[in-house]
Amino acid sequence: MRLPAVLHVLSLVLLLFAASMLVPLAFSLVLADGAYAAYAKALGATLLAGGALWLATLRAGRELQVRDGFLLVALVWTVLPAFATLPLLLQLRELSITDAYFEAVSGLTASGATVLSGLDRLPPSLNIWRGFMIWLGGMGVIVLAVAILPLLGVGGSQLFKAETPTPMKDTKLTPRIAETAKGLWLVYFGLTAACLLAYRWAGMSWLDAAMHAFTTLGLGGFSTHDASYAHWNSPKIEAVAIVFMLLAAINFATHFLAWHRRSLRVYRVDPEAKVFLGVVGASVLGIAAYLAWQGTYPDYGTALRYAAFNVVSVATTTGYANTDYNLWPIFAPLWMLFLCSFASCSGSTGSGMKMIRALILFKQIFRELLRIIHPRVYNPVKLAGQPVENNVVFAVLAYVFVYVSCIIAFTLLLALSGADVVTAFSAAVASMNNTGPGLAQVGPATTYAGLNDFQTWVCSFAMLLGRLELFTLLVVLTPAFWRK
Amino acid sequence: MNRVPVRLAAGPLPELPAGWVTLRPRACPCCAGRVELQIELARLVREQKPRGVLIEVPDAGHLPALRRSLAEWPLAQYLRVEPAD
Repeated sequence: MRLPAVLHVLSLVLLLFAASMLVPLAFSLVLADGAYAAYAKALGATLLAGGALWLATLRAGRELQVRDGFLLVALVWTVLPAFATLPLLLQLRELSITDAYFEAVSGLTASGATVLSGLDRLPPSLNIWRGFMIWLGGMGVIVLAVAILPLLGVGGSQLFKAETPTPMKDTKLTPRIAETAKGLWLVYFGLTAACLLAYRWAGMSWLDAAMHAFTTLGLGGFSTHDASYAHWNSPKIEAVAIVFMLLAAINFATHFLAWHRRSLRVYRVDPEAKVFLGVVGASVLGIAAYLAWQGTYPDYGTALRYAAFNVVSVATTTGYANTDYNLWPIFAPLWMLFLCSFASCSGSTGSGMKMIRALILFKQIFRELLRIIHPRVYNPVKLAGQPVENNVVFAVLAYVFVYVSCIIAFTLLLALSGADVVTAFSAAVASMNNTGPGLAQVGPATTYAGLNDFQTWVCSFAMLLGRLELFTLLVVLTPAFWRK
Repeated sequence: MNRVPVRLAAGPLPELPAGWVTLRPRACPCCAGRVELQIELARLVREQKPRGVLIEVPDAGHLPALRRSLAEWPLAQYLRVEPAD
């Protein structure tokens, strides 16, 4: 373990994060919403802390080992939210540290669960800061998934690697992590700009368009309005959101290759994208039919509009709502929560166990069934025609087991501390999958403010755990990790 | 979503048409208990599918704020307050 080297890299990340506060500061000055002092103080404090850490670790080595990578990732996602709380705490004096940390974790993990209400009356720059946190979190997540996790080998994430020899990833994106990151960020930036213009075209103000472009590409559901997308009641705006949520939930490496080769063929051969679009599309049509049949909406067209927006929003782990789907017959929101557990593709800004793991799990089930019938047959799990190594399959199985165990544990902890069973289960699922809204007390029309402090910390931890693909954070918490 | 009619009462309960249910909020429905009311109403509408809801409050002082809550998102999306007689 090279703690000083890890802290040195962390100091650089902190300094960059301090610079990111210039964005809401600039918005505040231009809009004259009176909140600039909060960002200036927060920026100063973050700069000071980052600078002090940088100076203190200046003589540390620069080389990081794999084990250091785990600690660095865990530290970045736990320390950054602490500094991200500063503008919130300085501007909203009544906000507790627990709630502010929850809001910041929710932002930087691109979850979109909120404890704030009265969003329409917040200083506009504060909403921009909330949205920008999600966008930054999304940037971090893309690099984490495509470049860092595969190196660490977390839960079968070798499969996420851009260099994996599958048809859709048959060439190295670029030879180095930094180059890979630049390529993916370019796509991320381009899609964000396109989303902003599309929202503006559909009728949002520039400010709303910017905030929602950040949160759409980051797949976190923060909005500038308490009523989320119901504020506009515009099918045009909802259609734009659906398109960009779907794009953001597909592997950014696939987008990069499509752009690089000027070809849409890469989407056809990406094993995840096809299944993702198929499962989400079928769910939208199915839930719309179910809602129309149940009489929730008077006709199939209206049911389709609401089902399309809310199912895509939850399945991609975004968390916007254009209606209180808490009111739908319980099967529909439960199916949506089930979808958010696995639908998003690896290398996207979505969360959950990821489609690639679900595919391997599904294929492993059939492999086992076939093995029972034909014990001697050689039948490897294949993905896009390529056999998947057994150790990767075992890593995926272990990941899914830990994932389910964590959801059970968080549900029990929330229930133990007084939440009703629907709230406890849905909050655990929505937090672990970085979706945002759950059901009942934490439904799309309410906030997480009704949870007590203990429950809020549980949800914050669940969001971090889910975002860091479980093992990255869990391994740091084991005594063996710290032994020499 | 089909909007369910709502009546508000703070005194003697009026006679209700068939299929209507009465909701007595546990906390003050216009301030601290607003979220709780929201959740109770959502659950009631989803599970019981009533033809209408009568919300009974302990005193008439709550009525104006309650009326405002019911006219805002998300309650306004699926509830329609009937004008007072």
